[in-house]
Amino acid sequence: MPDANAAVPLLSATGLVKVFGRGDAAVRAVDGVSLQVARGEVVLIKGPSGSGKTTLLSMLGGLLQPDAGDIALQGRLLADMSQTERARARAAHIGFVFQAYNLLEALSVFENVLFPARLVSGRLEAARERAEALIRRLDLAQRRDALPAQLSGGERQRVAIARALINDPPLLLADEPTGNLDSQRGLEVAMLLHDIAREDERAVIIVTHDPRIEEIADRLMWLEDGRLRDRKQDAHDWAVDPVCGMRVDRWTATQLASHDGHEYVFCSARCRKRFIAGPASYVADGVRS
Amino acid sequence: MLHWTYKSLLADRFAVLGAAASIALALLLALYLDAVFRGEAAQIAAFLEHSDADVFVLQKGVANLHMSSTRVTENAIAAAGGVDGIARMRRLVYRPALVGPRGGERLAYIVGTGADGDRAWEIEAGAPQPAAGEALLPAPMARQQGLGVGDPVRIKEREFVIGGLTRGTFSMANPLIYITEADARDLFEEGDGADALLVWAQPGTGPAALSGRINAASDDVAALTRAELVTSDTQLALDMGGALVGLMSTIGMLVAALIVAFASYSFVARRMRELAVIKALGATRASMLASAALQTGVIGALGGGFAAAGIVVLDAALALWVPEVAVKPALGITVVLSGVTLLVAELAALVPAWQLLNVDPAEVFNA
Ligand SMILES: Nc1ncnc2c1ncn2[C@@H]1O[C@H](COP(=O)(O)OP(=O)(O)O)[C@@H](O)[C@H]1O
Ligand SMILES: [Mg+2]
Repeated sequence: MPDANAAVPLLSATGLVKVFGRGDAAVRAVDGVSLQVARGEVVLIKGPSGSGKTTLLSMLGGLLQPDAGDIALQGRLLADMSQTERARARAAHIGFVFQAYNLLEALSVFENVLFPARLVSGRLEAARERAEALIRRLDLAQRRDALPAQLSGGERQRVAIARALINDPPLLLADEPTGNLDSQRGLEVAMLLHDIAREDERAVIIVTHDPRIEEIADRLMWLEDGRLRDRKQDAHDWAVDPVCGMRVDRWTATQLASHDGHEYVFCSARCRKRFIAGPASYVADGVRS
Repeated sequence: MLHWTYKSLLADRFAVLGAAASIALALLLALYLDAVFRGEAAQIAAFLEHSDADVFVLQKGVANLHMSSTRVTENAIAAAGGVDGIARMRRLVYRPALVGPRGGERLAYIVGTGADGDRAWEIEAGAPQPAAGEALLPAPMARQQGLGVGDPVRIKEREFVIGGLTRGTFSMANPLIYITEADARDLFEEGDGADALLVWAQPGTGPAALSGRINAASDDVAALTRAELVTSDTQLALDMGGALVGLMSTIGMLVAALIVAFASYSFVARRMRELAVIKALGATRASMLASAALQTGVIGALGGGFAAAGIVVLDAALALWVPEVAVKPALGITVVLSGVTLLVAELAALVPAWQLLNVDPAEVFNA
């Protein structure tokens, strides 16, 4: 499905509704959500637990049928596709990344990465070379033949990302991709998703409540009680505390200091005090805000 | 998808092999019973198969040499002997009698051995031909009765000496005992009568043509070619086991099917999560079904294969440990039973298939 018409957005959803249960017990998990996503764009969907993020993502990925509303992938309505066509569209055009990694336990790293290529006819041969390249790109060469049980969380998520990219899908959907990772690994994965969107001209939709990921987003959407609201106007200007490495919003920061023509922000008075005592050691580390 | 199925089965190899072994055991039960009846049939037909007579003439209405009694009258002998194409004819003495040590007799068939056509062909111990007053007994029967070469044995209340032990014609219902023709005629007070006639055809005359002519010549006899009689006696033995074998085969296959279904069910149940992932990643229903079929097919085929291997091993083991039971495993029936099991296994695949198709791919988002 090439983009015949550049005006057609990669993914377009209008008026999505999903209700679970009936009568008094009915939950409007998603309630009238519309959004459009273009190639090369990173969209972040945030919201409190139970706000409908996963339900929304499931519908966008064709895994869950909306009760109302339309989803079009590259101009084609998912509702118009047969079950088999939807499965094929998922395999060929959508990459999935999950919080729980969801690797296939009996398959090696290489075989896991290759797996989606087996679901699209005629892809397998070319995909082998691509799988090798992705494994190198995601720094998994040493682990190529390992089984998932032998990998760390960060490695598993990188394998999952490589798997999501094997069929070169224009759309990547990620649900809490950093949810099970420590902050260092989480940041790495977030940067990786960002690069994937930019370098490969892919649309990436990330559902998360991880604040570290906000920096990589082009657009931030806030979901509450199944309703979406754009929070772009909510100004944030994230900076890193050069002493402890914590993220601090410039707009709300109260601890500030200047050094060598730069303005630095701090999480607390204690960090600021330390910085002032010897700024050279923190700046020399290359930590710049 | 099939690659994943294969790899996952491999990862589960002990469970898979366990299920296959259980299936094999269930099938072996049925196959073994079948083999016992086939062994019986083979031993029963062996006497006929080793004869070189072309046509057997029995009493009218009799179609088996075993498990039946036959008597051919002088008139009938004369009528049969008059047809064209006969090279040679022999009057066979062949009678049931009680045989064994005093108090331990059992029913056996006594053959009066002549110069040709109806002798023992495989000797385990002793002489290959009975002398006057001697009897050749099947070795397994002698063992059961605690007898050996040189021991006395009673046949129809007359004492004989065991001259040799034979192989190949012992069946539980029909052991064959060889004594000289003269002893046999004397024992049964037969004079020069005949229980059956062995007929050899002249060159250029086929057995079927000859038996047809004999049947036309006399209303008192039933002439059968050797092939017909072999078939008829084999069938007789198989019919004895038929219903039982059928029942056991059915039970064996049902048990096998249950095991396949259960093994598939637990295989899928343990992998619900991965199957949801696979479905989410874009596997079609068709490939999910193919996976279910492959999975049950592998388990079923392994079970059938193990059963086939098992029957060969069992055959060898039994020949060693329980030689009096003649087992003859039939490769054909093993293949058929394994094939049917595979079919049943694929039916059992409906269980995992139903599970697979009902996996909710949205499960994948649950952490
Ligand atoms: N399969 C389901 N059946 C019933 N209720 C569901 C189901 N999935 C989600 N929900 C409900 O829908 C709401 C939104 O859930 P979810 O999309 O998982 O939220 P989030 O991912 O933002 O935490 C919650 O109230 C949840 O309990
Ligand atoms: Mg969620």
